[in-house]
Amino acid sequence: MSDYFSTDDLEQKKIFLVLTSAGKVRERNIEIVKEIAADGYKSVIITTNFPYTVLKKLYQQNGVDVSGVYFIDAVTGTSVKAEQARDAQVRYVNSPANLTDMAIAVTETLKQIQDKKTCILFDSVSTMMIYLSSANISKFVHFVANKLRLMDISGIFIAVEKGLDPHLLTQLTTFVDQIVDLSGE
Amino acid sequence: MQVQGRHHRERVRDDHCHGSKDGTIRVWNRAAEAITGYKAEEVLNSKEVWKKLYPDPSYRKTITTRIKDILTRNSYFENLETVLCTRDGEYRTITWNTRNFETKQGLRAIAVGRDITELKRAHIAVEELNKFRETIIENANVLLVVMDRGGTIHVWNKAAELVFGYPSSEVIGKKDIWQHLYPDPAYRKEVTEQIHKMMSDTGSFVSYETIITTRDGSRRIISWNSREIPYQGGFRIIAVGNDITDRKEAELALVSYITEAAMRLKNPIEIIRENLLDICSLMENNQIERNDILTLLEVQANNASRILGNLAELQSAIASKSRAIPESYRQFLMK
Repeated sequence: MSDYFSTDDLEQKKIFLVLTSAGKVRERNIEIVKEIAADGYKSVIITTNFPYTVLKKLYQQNGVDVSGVYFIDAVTGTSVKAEQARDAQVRYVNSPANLTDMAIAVTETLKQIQDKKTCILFDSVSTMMIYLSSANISKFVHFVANKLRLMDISGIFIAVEKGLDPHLLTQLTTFVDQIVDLSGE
Repeated sequence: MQVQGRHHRERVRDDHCHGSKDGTIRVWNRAAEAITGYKAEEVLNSKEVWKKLYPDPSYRKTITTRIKDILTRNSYFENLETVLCTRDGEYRTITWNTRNFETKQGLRAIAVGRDITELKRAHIAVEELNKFRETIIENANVLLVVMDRGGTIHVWNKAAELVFGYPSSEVIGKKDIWQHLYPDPAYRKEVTEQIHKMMSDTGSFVSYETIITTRDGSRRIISWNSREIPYQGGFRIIAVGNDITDRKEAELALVSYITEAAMRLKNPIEIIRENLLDICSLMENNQIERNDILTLLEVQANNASRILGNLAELQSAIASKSRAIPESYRQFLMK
């Protein structure tokens, strides 16, 4: 199993920026969630790329106990099926561009979990580029990072290494504690 | 009365004409004939020619009054300038110098006139040229600064006043302005050294960019062209500056815009491609069901729609920002 984050890192409630290649975003997502779960952490997946239904299935297929995995799904949008809507482990946001709803969903989910051993995974900063300007993305990541620090919770932002301009990348690096560069792997 | 034309200089001593104090002409030399167009026989022993030479009564009266006034005090006049009208209607400027002298017939005045029309015109032309040059320097749309090798300012035009915020009255004759424009000693030293090097290498430089600090503390980027020229046994450095701050900012904005566009177009398309490949892989491995596939494909379609929207925004922004785009292309981009 991959070991991207040490137990100490998670205990210190560090915030990470994981850089990966475009073709490996989903793979990294699953590996990270698996690692977090193995360390006994609950996870909140903010997904702007894959619908939660698919991610949940893939996690299960990879042996992740999804009882500790919560989702904020900004992909499925308005076409939410009735059975999906009943799932208490997911909150829907109609678009990744709706940062206000996204922020509310993050706050509510963290309140719902009420567990310090929680880690947020944001997948991915790069997909947000489809919906938002880099300035707004930067603001949003800043907001989430601050929120995590206030609530004393770990966070991981996934981004495609070559998809961010140097200015945005520099800004993001100032919001996090550590960069995990997996783009060459 | 003696009249001497410039082109009759060789006849200074011989060509003269005398007149009585009441203005009657007694002598009218060939130069006087050449300049005025009136022959001696037409004017001698008469004072009528003055009316012809000064046809405007008020001007004639002014001249007469002035002459009388001068003669009352000095009994002669020097360098009196009048404008007379020649026979063919041309106006010429003459400077007059007179002396009175006694003759057997009584008091006579000799007036030597010099035609300075061309000289006057040349002076006016030079003055106009100087004024024109000063006007150009003052009102040029570029910063124009002239200094000596020690950095003392000699010319500081309006554009320089406007951009730097320092009026010429505070700058001319001084050299401490550079400390204000380049307040950071290290940067000032760097700029000074580079300028000295370029000047000593070639005596000039072009498009040398410096960042200056204006009086209000704002920063402007100036592109300088400079040349050293010999001047009154020494040297002067002429520096012509263009404030390129806005252009530079526009360039940076353009780079920023293009970068943003690349991030919001290229990168997302790459993500869609990778997602589609991922979906294929998941399908091949039977990891997802039909409903999942449909949802995933729908997401990618939504992403593609959003990218099209971003592209339209980009087109519209380019079309509205660049005036150089022909109207037909602008309309196409705005669609």
